[in-house]
Amino acid sequence: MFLVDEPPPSPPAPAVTTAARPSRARRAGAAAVPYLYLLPALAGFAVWVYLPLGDTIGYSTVSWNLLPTVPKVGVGLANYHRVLDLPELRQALGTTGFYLAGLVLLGVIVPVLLGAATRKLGPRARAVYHGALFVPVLISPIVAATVWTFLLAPNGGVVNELLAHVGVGAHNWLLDPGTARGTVVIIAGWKVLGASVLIVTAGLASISPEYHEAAAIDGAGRLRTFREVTLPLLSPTLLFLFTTAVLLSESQLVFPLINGLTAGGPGNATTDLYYLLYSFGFTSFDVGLASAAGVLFFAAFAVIAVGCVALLDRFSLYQD
Amino acid sequence: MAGIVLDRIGKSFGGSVALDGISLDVADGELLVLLGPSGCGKSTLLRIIAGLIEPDAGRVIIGQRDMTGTPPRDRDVAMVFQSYALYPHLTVRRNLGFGLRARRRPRAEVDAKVTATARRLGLDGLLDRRPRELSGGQRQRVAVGRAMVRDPAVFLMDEPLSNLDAQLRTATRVELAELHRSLAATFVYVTHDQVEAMTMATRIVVLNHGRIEQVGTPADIYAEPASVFVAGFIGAPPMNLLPATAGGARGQVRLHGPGIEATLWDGTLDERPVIAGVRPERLRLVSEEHGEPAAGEVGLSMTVTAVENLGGEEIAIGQVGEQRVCFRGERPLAVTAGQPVRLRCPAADLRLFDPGSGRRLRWVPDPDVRDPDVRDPDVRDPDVRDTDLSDTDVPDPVGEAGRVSR
Repeated sequence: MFLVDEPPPSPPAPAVTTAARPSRARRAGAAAVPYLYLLPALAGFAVWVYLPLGDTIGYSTVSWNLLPTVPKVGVGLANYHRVLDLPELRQALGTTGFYLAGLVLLGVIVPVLLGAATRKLGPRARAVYHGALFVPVLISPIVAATVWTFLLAPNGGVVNELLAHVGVGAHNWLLDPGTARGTVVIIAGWKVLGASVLIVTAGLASISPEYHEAAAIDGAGRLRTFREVTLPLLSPTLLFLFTTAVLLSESQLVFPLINGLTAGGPGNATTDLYYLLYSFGFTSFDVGLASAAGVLFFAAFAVIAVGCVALLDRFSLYQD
Repeated sequence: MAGIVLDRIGKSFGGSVALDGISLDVADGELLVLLGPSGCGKSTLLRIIAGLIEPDAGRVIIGQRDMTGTPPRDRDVAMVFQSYALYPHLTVRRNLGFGLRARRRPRAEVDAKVTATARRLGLDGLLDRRPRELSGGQRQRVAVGRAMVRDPAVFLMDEPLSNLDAQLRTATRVELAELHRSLAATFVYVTHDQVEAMTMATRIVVLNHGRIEQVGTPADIYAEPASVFVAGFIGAPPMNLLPATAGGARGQVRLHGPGIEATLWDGTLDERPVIAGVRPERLRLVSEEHGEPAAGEVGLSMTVTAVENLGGEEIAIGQVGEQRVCFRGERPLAVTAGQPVRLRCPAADLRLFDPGSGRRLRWVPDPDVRDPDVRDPDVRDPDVRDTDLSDTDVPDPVGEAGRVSR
């Protein structure tokens, strides 16, 4: 007969004493600790973001001119109807689209081309080049706007002087409705380009050179390698730049430039959504209209932001 | 199908020499393993064959064509990278077909070849997955498949198994060797794992500090190491190496050193230092009653410091003089730590090396009795007769050793 070789028996459970359960108050205190850590940040958010947002929604249903002595009159959704019927809105929407296109071109596409082109440079040459590109990032937008106003002055401005050498006549770049928008967006691009090139360079450096070696052995030429290997692997970086250009640069950078360069003019030629909102509130003192516009823009950009974040999530999966 | 000739390849990176005049002849259909420690230049050499790095000096000839300076795509080579370098954004199907698409092959051909390769490697069900959805072993197969699908003349493999766990590595090693046999293509395979080298290679090239130490079949490299480096690199544990003095007065060449004593063979020799090498499995234990080793026998006195149980075998580790020595045999060896033991091996299993150059010393019998095919012409000079043992086996700068020891 066979005897089955049994596995070793598990040893008897060791005798231990159970520690007393902490009191209810103590447990509640322990559970509260993580929320206490969050509190300072949440308080800041509440005071500077959520409360004003709530106020704005409230103001969007009243008629008021910002004077504390003047009572607020409830008007329901009338402010929203007025915003949507305004002819200025359509124009500001077009201008915003123009700025976004310019920022995507100068803040995403051109940096990718520059980053790819400067990849083969020696480290020192590249550092100098990137440094030169980065200087405008450090200049505050209002200072930049002031300096550019001088540079672009119709009489005696450096830009016109230089252009005269190549036979281009003097031109009032910021007051001609045909060139004002383009000038604003080029200056905005000049300010974001350096940071974007640095980010693209970092993104390119994070791509393992073995992918390019594999593509070279597989027989892919430079163009195909760039299109089918480099660009897809760079897509998280590109989406990040795109998101920043759309959500941050347009609101935080272009506004002070418009304010300093053109004040929205000539006519409304350089007024975008944010500047329009500002002029409703602080030029016309129509708080209800400005708040209604603010709520609408907030909703629209929230949708865009959700889309951008969803794309970022999807494409960042490439990175192992 | 193509052979490869490397002709005096040299390469430095910022002042440090990575490759120093490497000449090598890889026959068509061979599986040549480049073996060496990290930093020996083996990967650099592979990348030079691929065309990813251009050499500073020398020529790369693939299939009778001088390919030096030719871009990688025109060399008819494929490469499997250590990291696999699978395009992370492409499915397995598109990864496999990338090379064919890049070469603008018709879609039907690409599909047919991708399907056939996937079937051959057992990747059928995985074609629509992306690399990160695959296990390590599956990724490795895709990397091999991407090389195979183009049907190249030469496969270059850069440590393709080093990212696999031990069990999978053993299985994949066998598969790769079978693949090599069935494809009958030329493989150049870089590894630092001597087990891979010994089991897969038709020939092994041992590299060290950018130079070739030895070229030979796995059996040659193991049994007849050409230098102290090869002796100490190949084998687990490697060859035991002991400093000693060789000399022969009364018509017999003897060897003595701390803990080692031997009467080797007839002949005369002025005393000279040597490094004596013997494989751990060649040593056997003898009882205390044995006195001096007999003629043609090597005797070692060792103090055991530890015994390792490998299951079927045991390795005893100990001190002979100042040196650490191992011997291995069937379990149980019946020795314990702290025990002094006597070891013996036949003189024929002893390998001698020159302490200065580290190269192998070959004993050439006296000219009047030697075989006609012993090759060193210097021996005819009567003045050299007594210094035959210093006939160091140094390869010439163009790698003559690489050419002749096929």
